[in-house]
Amino acid sequence: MNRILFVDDEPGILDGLRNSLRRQRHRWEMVFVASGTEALRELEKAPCDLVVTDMRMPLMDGAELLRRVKAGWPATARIVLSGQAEQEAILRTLPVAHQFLCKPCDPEQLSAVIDRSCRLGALLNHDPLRRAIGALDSLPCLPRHRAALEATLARPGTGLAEVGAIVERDPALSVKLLQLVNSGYFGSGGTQCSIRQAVTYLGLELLRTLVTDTQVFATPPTASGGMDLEPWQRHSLRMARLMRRFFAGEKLAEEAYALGLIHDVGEVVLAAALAGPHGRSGTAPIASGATATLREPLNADVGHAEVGAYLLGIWGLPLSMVEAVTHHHRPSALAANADCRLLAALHTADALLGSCAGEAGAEHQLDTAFLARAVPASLLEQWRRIAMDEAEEEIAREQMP
Amino acid sequence: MNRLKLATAATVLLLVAAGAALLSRQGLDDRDHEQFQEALQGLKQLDAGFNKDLLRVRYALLSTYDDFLANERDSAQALDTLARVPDLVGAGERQAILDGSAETKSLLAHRTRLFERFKSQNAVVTNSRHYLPFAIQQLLEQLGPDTADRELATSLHALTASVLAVLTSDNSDRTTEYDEALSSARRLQDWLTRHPGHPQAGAVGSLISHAHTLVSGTGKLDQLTRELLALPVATALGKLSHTYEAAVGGAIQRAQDYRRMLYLLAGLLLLLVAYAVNLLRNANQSLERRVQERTAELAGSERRFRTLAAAAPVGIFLTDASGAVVYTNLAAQAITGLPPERNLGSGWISALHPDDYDGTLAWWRQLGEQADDRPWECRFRTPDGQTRNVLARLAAVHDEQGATLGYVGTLEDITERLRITSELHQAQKLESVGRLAAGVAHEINTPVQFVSDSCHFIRDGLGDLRGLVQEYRDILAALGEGSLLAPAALDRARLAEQRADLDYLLDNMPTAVERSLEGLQRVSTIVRSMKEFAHPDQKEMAHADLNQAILSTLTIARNEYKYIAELKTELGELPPVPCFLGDLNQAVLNIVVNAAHAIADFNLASGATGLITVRTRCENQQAVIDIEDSGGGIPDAIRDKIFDPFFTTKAVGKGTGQGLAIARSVVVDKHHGSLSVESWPGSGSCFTIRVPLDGDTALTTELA
Repeated sequence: MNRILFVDDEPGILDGLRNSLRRQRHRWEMVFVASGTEALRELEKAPCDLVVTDMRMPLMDGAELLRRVKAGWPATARIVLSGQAEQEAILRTLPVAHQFLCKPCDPEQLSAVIDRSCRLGALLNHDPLRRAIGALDSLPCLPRHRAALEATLARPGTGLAEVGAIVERDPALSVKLLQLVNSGYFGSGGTQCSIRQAVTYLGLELLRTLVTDTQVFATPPTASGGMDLEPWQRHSLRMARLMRRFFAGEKLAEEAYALGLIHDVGEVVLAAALAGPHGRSGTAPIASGATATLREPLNADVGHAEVGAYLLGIWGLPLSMVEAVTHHHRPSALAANADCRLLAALHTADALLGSCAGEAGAEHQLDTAFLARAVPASLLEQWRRIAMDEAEEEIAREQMP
Repeated sequence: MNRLKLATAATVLLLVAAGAALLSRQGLDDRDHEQFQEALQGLKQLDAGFNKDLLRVRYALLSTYDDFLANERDSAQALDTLARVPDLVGAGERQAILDGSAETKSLLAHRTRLFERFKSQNAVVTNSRHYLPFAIQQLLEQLGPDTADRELATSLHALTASVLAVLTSDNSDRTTEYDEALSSARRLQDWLTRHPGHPQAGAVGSLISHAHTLVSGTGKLDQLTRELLALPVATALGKLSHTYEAAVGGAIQRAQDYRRMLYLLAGLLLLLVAYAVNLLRNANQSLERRVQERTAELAGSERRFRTLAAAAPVGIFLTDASGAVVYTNLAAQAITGLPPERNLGSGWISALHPDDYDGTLAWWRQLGEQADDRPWECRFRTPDGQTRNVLARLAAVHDEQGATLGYVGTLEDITERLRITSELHQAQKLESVGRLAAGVAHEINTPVQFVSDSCHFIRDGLGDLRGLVQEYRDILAALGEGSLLAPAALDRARLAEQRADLDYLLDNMPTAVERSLEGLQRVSTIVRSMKEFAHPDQKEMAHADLNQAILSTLTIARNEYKYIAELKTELGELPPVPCFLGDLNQAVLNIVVNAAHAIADFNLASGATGLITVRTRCENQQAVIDIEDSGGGIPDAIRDKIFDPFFTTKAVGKGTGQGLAIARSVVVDKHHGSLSVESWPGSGSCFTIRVPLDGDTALTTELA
């Protein structure tokens, strides 16, 4: 049974939540408290899987509460349920909250979000890792991407398209923006999968504030420990392009691109989690022996796919993306449902790119059974052709001066 | 300029020198000189005449002394003249001339004395000379033919001959003749000695003495004559003349020297004058040039000023010292709407708005007396009926002595500005409403959230209840059919109730409904407050319940202070207050929001909750609103700035700095009230709004 903590200074809200979520009483242990202090006391009593808090409260506001929760109980998913309409408010919660919901929020929506977060726990059944990932508020991005973004935003007359072109090259930036745009604040209801759309939704002004006033894009590459970001970044970008080509002309093209870009985010998450808290994040230190404990279970059950999916999940990215990322190595594990094309494409592209890049045995990882079930053979053949074309074009591009 | 001064100084010096020279120069007085020369010349002639006459007298060619008398008189006169030495002669020479003159005078005096002796000697000799031949003749006639007589006669003839020789000799040295005559006389003497008793002895004796007298007298006379002729009168005169000539020559020389010097001086003067003239001309030219330049500058300046004034968007006018307008620019003419010439003098007054007539003239007059540069706001009404709000300023123009030459005035057309200000007020209102909207949204979202939750709960609960009722009916039906026995029915009902969580539903559904109603109430209060706050724009003052309005305002501002400060209201009895309620709400809101921010800033570190107290009361025919906060107070340095537009202590982007300025404008300008602030640094501030209850004056003003 998941333990969920609700914090709001308004008794009416707590009553309302208690009543409306009453049906979940058999699945969740729900605790309702009226202040941050009480919330912390409850957490002391027993850790919670999830905290849902109001933002503006006397004495200790939501941001402060979440900061303490992040420090003390990093594995606890942190969700904001606020009636605040100011942009500023969401920026303040950015470093501490995993997801944002806006009042008034449908009980169904709230239940769905809580439910999803709880299920993520099942996905990554590894406490130290969950704590490490829970403490992450951003991912390391390449300095040149950040610099380009800053310069572009600072230039007068910059268009959203230019900014979008920069953001969609960097997985870390993209993930953060997708997290923002899928928050309740923007009312997209957690279904926004296009990076370009995300940029458009957020707008230049907010992006400027994000880049200049907050630290969310300032995570240095060193935060990923010893990991070399460049090959990962290159692979992500190639995947993204290939995915877009797979779905060229389709509505799914942008989601496919985003998925390609972020599918391996787990590698960086893992590296960052292993590297421990990076200075400024101020999160709970992971015991020095933790690295060993973190590495230890990285076996066949828990790989970067799960880690990445877990992060995307607690950050509130669309479920479809989380699922695709989760299963991109072992698609058969996913229960068969209507449209698995994205997952199939991701799985295929990952395997094909590996083989194109001459990675030995990559082709063998193709889950042919799944693919046979999910997509027609002709489509698979088409994808293969596109991948070859892409690889050739890429070689041609690299050979150009 | 220095050179000109030098030249002038030199000229003056030269002129002084020339003047001195002219003064010191004895003029060649021609008359004196001529008289002197004439006298000298006359004396020379007189001297010659004297000598000539003397000889004539000596040789009996002249028997009268009249000429000598005249000569002596003339000489004396001439000597007098000579005593007056002409001025032209220098001092040293003058003495020489005077000496010469004195010498001449003494010579002439000496000559006169000698001449007197000559005259007496001459008389003796003449007598003898006249007598002797006559006596000889007489004697001869009486002589007989005896030998004695013949001897006598012969001696007498010899004597006669020798006397005649003496008298007629041309020789200068007549010693021979004298000796002959004396020997003749001695022969007579001898004769006499031999012939004592001769009847003619007596006569012969007398004859002998006469002969002796004649001879010796003539000698003496000759001696005197020689002495007289030898007197160096002519020499003295010549010397004097020479000296004088020399003196005159010197004087002439000096005069010539003076003249030369004068010429030189004159030449120098001329040069100097020419130089000075040149300098002056140059100076004059440069002066003229400068004058031209300055004139050009002035003309340029004047043109610039004219252009400036003409092009200035602000009305500009000039008046003389008496305040009569002498110039107006285009903008000023546009403001009054009068043709240029009708603005002049006091013509502009006719363009004043009738209501502002007296006030403006009072201001105008007072300016002249106090040199007050307080701007004045008034209205002009152009002939085509437009009203222009104008801010007039006047500054006195003083000359170097501080006397007022006139006034420079500007007329700033603030019609547009006033319009913009009013728009700005509106904009600020919108802005604050916009900012409030976020807060209000939060305030509304909260009740909406729990109303929605409650409704969901009620809906679900009703579903559960319906299921339960259905179950009851089934049980009842089964009981009725007899297919179910009571204990089983009871168990089944209990199970159904448990499944539906009936107790919970029964406990909580009424509360949920209450919650919903309460939430809806809250939403409607906020919405109503919004409406009351925004208050549809009034054109006129209307009486309003200020306390109610304040409560509304506080409601919508609640999100601004809710977590920052506790709010305390002490609202006293207030009669309906005539006001523009929307504006007044705005003012109260701005101050309350400011109070909240002040407290937030003050308690930033401690996170403590502050206190905002809003009090109303009625006092001195005024409605008074106190808004007190427990913030950090207002530093003295900025206390008089806080009501200035655009003044803000907030971070960029956090405030426009319009809030208090607009509050002030609303209270003071629109309601003729007052907005004051008291502040206790470290413990808070209190803003006090006072609005007159007797809004009549304000009302009429606003209606006008």
